[in-house]
Amino acid sequence: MRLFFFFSLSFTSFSVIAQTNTQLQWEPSVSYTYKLPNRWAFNANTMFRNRMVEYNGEGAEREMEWVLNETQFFATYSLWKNTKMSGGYAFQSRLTDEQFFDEHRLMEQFAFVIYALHGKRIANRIRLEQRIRQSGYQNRLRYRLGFDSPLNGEELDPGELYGIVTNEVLYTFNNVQQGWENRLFGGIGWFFNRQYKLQTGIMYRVSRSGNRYRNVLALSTIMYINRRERQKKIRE
Amino acid sequence: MYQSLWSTWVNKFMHRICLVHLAWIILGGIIVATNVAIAQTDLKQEVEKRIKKSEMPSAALNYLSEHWLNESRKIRYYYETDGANISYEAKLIREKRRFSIEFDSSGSLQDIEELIDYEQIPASVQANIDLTLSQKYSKYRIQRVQRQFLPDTTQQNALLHFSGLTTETVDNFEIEIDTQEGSAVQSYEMLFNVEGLLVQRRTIIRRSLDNFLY
Repeated sequence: MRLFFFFSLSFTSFSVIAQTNTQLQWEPSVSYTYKLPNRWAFNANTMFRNRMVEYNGEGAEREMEWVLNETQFFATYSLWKNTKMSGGYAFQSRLTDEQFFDEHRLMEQFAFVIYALHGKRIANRIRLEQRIRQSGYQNRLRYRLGFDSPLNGEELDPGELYGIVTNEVLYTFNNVQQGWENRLFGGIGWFFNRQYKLQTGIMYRVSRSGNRYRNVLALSTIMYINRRERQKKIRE
Repeated sequence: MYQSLWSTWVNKFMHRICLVHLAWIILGGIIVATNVAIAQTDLKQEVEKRIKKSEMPSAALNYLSEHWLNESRKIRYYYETDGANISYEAKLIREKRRFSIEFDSSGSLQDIEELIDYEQIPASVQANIDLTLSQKYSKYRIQRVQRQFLPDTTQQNALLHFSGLTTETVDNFEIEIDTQEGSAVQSYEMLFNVEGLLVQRRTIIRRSLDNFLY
C-alpha cells in the first residue's frame, strides 16, 4: 500500500498546486566528480537555495533571499558498469526567521541504469538519509527515476544539448512523525565536453507534513565538472 | 543586552558566510585546477548529428536509392566527424535486419554493418573469440554484436548488395563488451576478423552518470 502511495504521489502533484500558494526558488549549484582509474569516484557538490520573498505593505517588492546552503561529499564505488553504490556526508545551513539551523546528514545510495541504448538512458537511484538536526533526528527514504537523451543524433557529442526528466519521491519519518514529498524535474543540459556540462530546468516540489501541503517551483541550475580519462573510443 | 544579542547574531552570520564562502573557494580552486588540466589536454571531439536526406553526398544517395531505400524502413541519416575525418551514415531496417551503411565525405561506400545476436556468429569463430576474451578478462559481458561487410577494394566502383550480405561474405565482427580486469571495470569495442582473431580494440568511455547520482 505504501508503495502505491509512493508512486501515485507523483501523479497527484499537479492537482495539489492549485490548492495552495507556490513558493518560487532559485537553486544554483556546482558538482565536482573525480574518477580514479579503478572503481572509485569522489564527488563534492554545493547548492545555494534562494527564495523569492514578497514583503507585505504598500510599495513592497519581491526580492530573492538566500535561505539555505547544502554541501555534500560522496564516495562512489562502481559494482559493475553503470551500477554504483555511494556513501556520503552533507552539511546544511538554513536561515529561518533570521536564525540559522544546522543539519548534518549521512547518506547511503544505490543507483543503476535500467536502459541505455541509442544515447537514451533510464536510471534510478535509491537513497537513505539520516538527518541530524537541532530539532531532532529524522530518516528519509528517497527514490528517483530519471530519463535523459541527446536532442540531436544517437550520441551525446561535445557541444550538444540533452533533455532530462526525473521524478523523485521522498518519505521522511521518525518515531513521532512522517511526511511525503515529490520532486518532478524537467530540464535541458549543455554537454560542453566530457568534463563540463551545465544543466538547468524547473523542479516542482510538493510536500505533505500532517495536513499541510507545501508547493515549491524552483529554477535549478547545476554545473557538473567531471575529471576522468580522455575522450571516447581511444584507438589502441 | 540588545548589543550582546546583536553581536552574537552578527558572529553567527559571519560564521555562516565564512562556511558558505569556504565551500565556494574549495570548488573554485578545483575548477581552476580542472581548467589548467583541460588546457593541457588535446581535445579531440567526435560529433554525430542527424541530418536530412538532402544533406547526404549525392553519390551515397544514388547508391542508397538504387539498392536500399525502396525496400527499407526507419531510414535515418547521420553526419559524423572526429575533427579530422568526415563520414556519412544511413541507418535502416530491411526484412527485419538492422543495417548501418557508412560513406566517406565524397559518398564512396566504406562499410555496411548489421546488428546480430552473438549466437549468429559461426561456432568455430565464436570459440576463438571466447578464448581471446577469457584469456584477457576475468569477467566479461557481451553487449552488442555487429557483422561488418567491406567493399572489395580491388574492384573499381565496388558495391555491396543486400542479397550478397551473408555469413559467407562477412569480413569482420564488431563486438562491444563490458569487462573486468583486476579491480577495474571497462568497456571496449573490439574488432575480430572472420576467423575470430582480434584485429583492433578501442576503449569506450561512457557518459558520466553524475546528473542521476548527485
